[in-house]
Amino acid sequence: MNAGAHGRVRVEFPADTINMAIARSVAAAIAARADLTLDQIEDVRLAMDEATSHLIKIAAPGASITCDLWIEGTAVYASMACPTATSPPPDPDPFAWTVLTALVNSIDLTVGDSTAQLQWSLASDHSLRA
Amino acid sequence: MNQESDASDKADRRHIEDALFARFHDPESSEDQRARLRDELVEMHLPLVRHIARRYADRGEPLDDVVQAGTLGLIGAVDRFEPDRGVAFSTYAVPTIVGAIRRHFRDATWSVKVPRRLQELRGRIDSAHDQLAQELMRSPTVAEIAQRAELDPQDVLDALELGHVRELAPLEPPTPEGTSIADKLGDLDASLADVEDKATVERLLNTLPERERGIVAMRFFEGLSQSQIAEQVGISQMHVSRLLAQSLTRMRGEVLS
Repeated sequence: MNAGAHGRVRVEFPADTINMAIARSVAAAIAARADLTLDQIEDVRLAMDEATSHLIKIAAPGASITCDLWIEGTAVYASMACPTATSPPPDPDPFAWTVLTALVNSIDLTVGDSTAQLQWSLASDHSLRA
Repeated sequence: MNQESDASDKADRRHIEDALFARFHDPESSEDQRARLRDELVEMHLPLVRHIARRYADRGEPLDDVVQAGTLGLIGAVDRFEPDRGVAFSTYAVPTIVGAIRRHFRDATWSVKVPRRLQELRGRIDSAHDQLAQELMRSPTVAEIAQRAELDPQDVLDALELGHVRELAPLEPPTPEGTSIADKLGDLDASLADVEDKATVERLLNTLPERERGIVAMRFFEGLSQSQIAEQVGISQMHVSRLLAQSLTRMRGEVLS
């Protein structure tokens, strides 16, 4: 599939757990375009779950999370950001972080002045599962 | 992870974990010791299993069952992990645990009844998926499934999405090849029958709200079908099914606690 033609998709949603399903579904749809396998699409869903749930925890009251998704080569990329309630925000839950880092190819969490940005990617040639 | 205490805790943990694995693989360790080390390693990582299991909490399977499936994955990971390969155990274990939980859902709820058109779609997708997985020795992509099942990729994606939407789940008649929610209720019923003490059952029933208590009694003591109950109570059969499943899960939780 011609990934370039699809460009970036941006979703923005209030930082509330009720919106996690939306973030998951959008990410899964993009992952399918990147020709990820069903198992990898499930990994993308789970990674999105962990990432969103962390941002929801640290987001400022009433804030929204923006999430950019795109395909580059054989990988799906996510760049997510939100304003945070405290500066710096608390670290991710160790289990959430363990799961997230184990699932993705690359991950980067940057906290700035009352903002947090979380970027991650998962490639179709990524196979921890032999 | 910007706090020093966190970092040193983590380092300690890793150190303990490495030491346990080293002894687990030490040819000098006896079978007994190895069994104990295995238990210890498994227990150490149970919170990770519970964390992952909770991610699947909204999909209608009892959390205990999901945790159990994940724990089996964890045990497999402990047995197969090779410390020399330089990967942290948790990095190795997560995909194994996740895989075990997904298999559990595939086996337990894949054949749940959805509207007929979608069910047919789902059937074609399932069989294409299984064929391809066997041929390719890996999980297929949406495009591959679409091609094999002669479907539009978007339809495949839509149908897969449904697997995550629990509200559409259980209706009464079982699919010819699979189990329905009714079969699962049968299982729970059987395990309840094992509880010999009538007083226990009574106590359990009393933990339910009045309407649910009535529905459970009609189903299992009067032997009414879900549709008959639906008619009597004046709610949909799907709702009856859901309330029954919830009630049994709750009662079972009480038995185990």
